[in-house]
Amino acid sequence: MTEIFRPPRRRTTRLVRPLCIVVVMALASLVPSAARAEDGFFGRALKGVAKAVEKLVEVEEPPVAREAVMLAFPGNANNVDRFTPLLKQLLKIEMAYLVKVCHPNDEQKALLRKQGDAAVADIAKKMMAAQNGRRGNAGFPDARKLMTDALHKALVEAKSDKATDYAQEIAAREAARKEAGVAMMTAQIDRTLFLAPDQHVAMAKVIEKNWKDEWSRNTQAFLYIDYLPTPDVSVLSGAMNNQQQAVWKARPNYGTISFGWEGDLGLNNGFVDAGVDEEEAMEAAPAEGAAAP
Amino acid sequence: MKPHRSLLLLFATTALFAVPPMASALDEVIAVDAAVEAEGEVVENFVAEVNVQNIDQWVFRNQTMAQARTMAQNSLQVQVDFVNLAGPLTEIQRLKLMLAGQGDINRFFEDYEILRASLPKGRVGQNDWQQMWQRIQPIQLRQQAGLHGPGSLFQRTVKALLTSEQKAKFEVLDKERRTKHYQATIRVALTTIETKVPLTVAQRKRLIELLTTKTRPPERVLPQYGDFYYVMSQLAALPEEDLKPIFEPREWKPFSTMVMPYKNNQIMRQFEAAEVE
Repeated sequence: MTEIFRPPRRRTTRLVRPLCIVVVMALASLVPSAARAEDGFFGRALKGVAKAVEKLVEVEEPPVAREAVMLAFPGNANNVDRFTPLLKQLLKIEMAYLVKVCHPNDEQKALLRKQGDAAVADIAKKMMAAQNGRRGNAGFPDARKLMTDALHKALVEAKSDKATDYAQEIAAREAARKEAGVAMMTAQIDRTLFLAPDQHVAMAKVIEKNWKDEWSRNTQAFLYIDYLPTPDVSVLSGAMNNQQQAVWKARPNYGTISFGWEGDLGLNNGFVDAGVDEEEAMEAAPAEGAAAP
Repeated sequence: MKPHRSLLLLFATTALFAVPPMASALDEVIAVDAAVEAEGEVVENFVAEVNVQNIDQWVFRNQTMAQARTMAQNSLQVQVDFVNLAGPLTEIQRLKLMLAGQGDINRFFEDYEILRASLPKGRVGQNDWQQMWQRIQPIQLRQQAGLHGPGSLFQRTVKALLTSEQKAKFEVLDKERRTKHYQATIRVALTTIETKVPLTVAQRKRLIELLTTKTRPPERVLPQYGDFYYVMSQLAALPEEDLKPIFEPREWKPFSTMVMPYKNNQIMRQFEAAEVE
């Protein structure tokens, strides 16, 4: 990794520095006073020299950050799409879920496939825009939500009578994520503060009331007590006694943990093909109206 | 106009056009040179300055020793308050518990100070640095796990000190607490499964019911993500005939792949071994 940050042609660039100074000094001493004007021949010539020097340095010293990105993610520099492969996998998983819940007919399946592919392209564009805008991980849109929204829209367009069931299941899944997050955040606070049973209930209520939707994206974050996202202490303190407040306020602040957008999708750990497969689901889907497990 | 004034003016004009781009180019060159030189030092001849304050901050993770001690005292107080929920403690009981907890705190900080005194100070080479960290990590983990956990003087005193009525109530409180943590972790484990095998309401409900009725919470509150490993290990250990009917046939393989590393308590054993070390 150390080679990443080593510029390739140091000796040449070191030569550029004295060369620039000599050229400029020579020009300065030789040019007649009438030629000092910016628009004059020598003024333009000096600008040209300056630009050439800048260009020379730029060519010899590629920006370190870009070089590092290219080496760290081969083939994934700024404008290379690294989102589509995982989004396609996400589509497979979510289509399998949709088939499980809605049992679409052949005509609906065809439309859903088409809309799903369009959703992949659309979400990839949004992810790319977030990446190029350098807004950090928090700036990435919730790809799973975008995908399920798109599939719900497609179900409505396909006039599926199960579109409402699908929306309800998705809402229930989201509620389950929030429930898990609230319970785990409360449990982690309890690890530190030894809450009384009534305080435990009160704490869960405070957390639920002050929940931020982005916390639901990856519940793994709640397993790390030192990097736990929580509401502000001023909000939580209503469910603590004075001693507990003192303990909580004295905790060092290490910030919160992030697993990246891939981690939020649960598709970053080498199990890219480990999700349930939509094509298999499509083939195996029972006729509409059959009971789900 | 005198010749030398002309030259000065000319030089000033030249500087106006030439210096800014040059300055930016030169700054870049100088910055890169500095980075390369610094990098060379890190890779070839790594040396860190080690002193008592540094060691304190590394072990107590950006806290001073005094802050860490205060935090341990406050933490002891909330634990005594929790024991008090089992039935009001007498003054003597409270005092004995505080003394026992204080004993754990003193023992920890004495151990730490002995360790700190034995660590190298001043400019430390890479090998010494690595060896130093190997010695720091166990005590760092000990502090992170809490000074009044299982095996501590505090816990032993709780068991010995409480009346049978208080003890029974305390055990109920402790179990309830572990159960809440377990239920929370079950839900987090399922959301993790759902990243690859999204569940319907009915599937989720059946899995929660199965885990709640056929498995038990851990015997103690496990540090960090130990609870998650525990739940996944319990899930992996459930009989196939109980689990398989919950999933659709095509879902079984990805589900099995996810729980496979937790089969036979493999990961849990590794976690416990790391804890002991």
